[in-house]
Amino acid sequence: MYQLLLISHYLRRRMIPLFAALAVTLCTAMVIIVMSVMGGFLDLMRGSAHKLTGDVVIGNVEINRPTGGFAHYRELTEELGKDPAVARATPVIECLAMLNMPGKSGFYQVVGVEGGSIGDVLKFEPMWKSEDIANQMGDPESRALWSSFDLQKAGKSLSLPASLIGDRTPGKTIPAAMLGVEVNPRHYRDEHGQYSPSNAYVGGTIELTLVPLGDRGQSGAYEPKKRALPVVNELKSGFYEYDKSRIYVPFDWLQQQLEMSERETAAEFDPVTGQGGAPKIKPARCTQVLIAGRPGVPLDEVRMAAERAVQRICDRHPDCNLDAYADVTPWDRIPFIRGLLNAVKSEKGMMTFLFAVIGMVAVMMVGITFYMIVLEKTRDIGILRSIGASQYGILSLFVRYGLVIGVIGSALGVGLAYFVVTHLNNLEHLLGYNVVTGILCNALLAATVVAATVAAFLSGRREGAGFERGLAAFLVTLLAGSAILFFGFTDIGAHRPEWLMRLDERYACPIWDPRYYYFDKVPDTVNWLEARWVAVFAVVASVMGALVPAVLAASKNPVEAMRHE
Amino acid sequence: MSDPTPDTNAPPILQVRAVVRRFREAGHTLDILRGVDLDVRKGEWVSILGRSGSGKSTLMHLIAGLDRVDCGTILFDGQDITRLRGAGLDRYRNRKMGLVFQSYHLLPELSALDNVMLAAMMDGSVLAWPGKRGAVRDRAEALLTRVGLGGRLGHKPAKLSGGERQRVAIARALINNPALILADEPTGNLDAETTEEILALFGQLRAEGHTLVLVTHDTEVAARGDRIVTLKEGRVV
Repeated sequence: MYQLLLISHYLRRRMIPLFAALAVTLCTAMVIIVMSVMGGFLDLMRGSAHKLTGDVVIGNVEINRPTGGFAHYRELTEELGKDPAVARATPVIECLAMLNMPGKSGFYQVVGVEGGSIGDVLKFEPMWKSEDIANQMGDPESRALWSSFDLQKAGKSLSLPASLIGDRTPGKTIPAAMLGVEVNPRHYRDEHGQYSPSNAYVGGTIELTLVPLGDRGQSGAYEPKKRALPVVNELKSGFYEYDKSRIYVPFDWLQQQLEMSERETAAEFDPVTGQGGAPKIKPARCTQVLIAGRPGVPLDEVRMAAERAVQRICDRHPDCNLDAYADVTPWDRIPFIRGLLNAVKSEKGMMTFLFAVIGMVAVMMVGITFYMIVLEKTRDIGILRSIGASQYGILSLFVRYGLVIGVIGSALGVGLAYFVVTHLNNLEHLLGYNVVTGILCNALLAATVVAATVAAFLSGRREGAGFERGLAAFLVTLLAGSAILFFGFTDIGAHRPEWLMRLDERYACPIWDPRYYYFDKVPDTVNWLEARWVAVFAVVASVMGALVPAVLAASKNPVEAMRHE
Repeated sequence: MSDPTPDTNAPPILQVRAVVRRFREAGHTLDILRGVDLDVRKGEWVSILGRSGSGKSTLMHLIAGLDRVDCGTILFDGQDITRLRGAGLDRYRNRKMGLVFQSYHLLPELSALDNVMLAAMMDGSVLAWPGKRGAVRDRAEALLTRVGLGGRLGHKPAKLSGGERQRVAIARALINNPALILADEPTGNLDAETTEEILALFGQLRAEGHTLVLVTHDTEVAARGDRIVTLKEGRVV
């Protein structure tokens, strides 16, 4: 019991444990911030990639190894629709095609999707609204025309009103393409990571050169086709690798251009009868079926549902090539996505490891602090032993002391990390783009800290005052100064004087520039599960740091300890 | 000199027999105690007198269980404390002994009241503490009031005079109602007036039946006891 009494007094009356707790706080915060930011990037990538693939993919997932696709996909989607684990399934055709548009030509991934599945299986929204594009139009007639329909809805259905090309038939639409935003060479990201609608290629025309493949993936079966398509909208999924390489077109349109729709083949010559055989019906094909699982259903169950459905179709059509071409792959196992995610995961692991090594400083700091405390408290240890404290009691006194410092330090560290992570973008913007303002604010903050320290010193020196009063003065001054600056920060950018704005622009040195990084902002969410483990580790590390000095303290000879000066 | 007179036929509460203590330092062996014998009866005030280096403080440390003999035995209430180890020895120091030092040895962070209560907090678990806290506090307050510090319960040692600190130390020594009070030069740092006050306090304790062993180099202080045992060069003379 006496340990608690002593710990409460030691904590209140010494600067040294304050520094130990501060070291634990900073190291805990540092590791949590790194893990949260890196984990945030990983989550953003995962979320963005997931939006474009559904939960499970049936079919070829290697774009560089094109196949002729597989048949009976309608039966397959119907079969999948009956499974309680599946919410929706949609066929997709993926192929490589040559793109020609003003300022750009090259090979791109063309994806044929059924309009109704956008926002359902593929969970993305077209970028531009009607007014974004209409506002760019010079003449009032074009502006009225582009304002007359819902551009986002048109983007989801991959079609444009025929009236745009002069066909006044009511309700008639024409197939259209949606470009990944980075496919458009006119786009660039501003300092906030935003694209401007003035650079959008909506309403423009692209030319695609498509190479149809045979049903076994063989090339040369058909002549390449060159087709023009208007652009209905652009897409920003958040997954840069997809947004720079994908063009979405209507499923039926692409199927037709690639000769993958149902058709009757010519009768083959029969060498036995000397006559032509009966004509054959070749069923329509797609290259993939994307599946969205029901909310809350584990990915593995959706995968098993897909495998069961494939097996049933194979049983029904023994001659089909489903078993050869219809691999079942959960979205995060798609080689391209997995490669990118694993790279970020490795970076996160390495960063966390490096910062955890730096975090060992906290353990050393606690160790050194406790060694100093033990030296300082040697006489107290002797007194305690003389009035009956056991060696274990002394050991547990210092171990508990370490535990308390660890708990306080890690709790403050979690709080600090939460504050920094949730305000990371504000602070980044202030320090990056309002650099001079930032320096001035930091100078003010530093002045506040100095003022707080002086206040603490003077207060502590005054007759009758002690450490508590000094600490209270320090904290009050620091908190008051920080609060004034923090609330000033949020609005300071808008109310800068002209000269300060000019200086900020001149000396701008962004630490996170969305013009070069694909994400608009730094992830600002704390992963509480990871934060909890970091906090637990910090507490354990503090106890470990206190352990060796505690053993030294417990093993001191009481008589010698009491003589210690 | 003090009442009641101790029963000289009563068996000794403390028996020190042929105790030897040597210290090895820089390759030399120093014989501090060379076969000391001492008996202390219950209710007796024994003064151990000796010059600096005579071994009187070492003897006190051995009796208190703070140090170990090289040879000999120390029997307290019939139990050989030289054989005690670990928790047994800690309990002996906490429950049987009340120690008073020349330098007071109070914890500077704690108030007078907390310093006194501290010795009663060594035993028992955290869970048991709330149940006995009130009783311990009452006793500590009563003891401090008794030694004349009823109005200074919340004062830290730094705010107390030397005499007041020694009173706190005496109150701490009494908190567990020990069988023996050991005082090592308790007036060594005090002026004459305060020394007289502290000795009067020891006299009161003696009158109440406490057993006292007081170590001093001052013959006048030693003379306040029932019996003087003189140590010279590690031997009782």
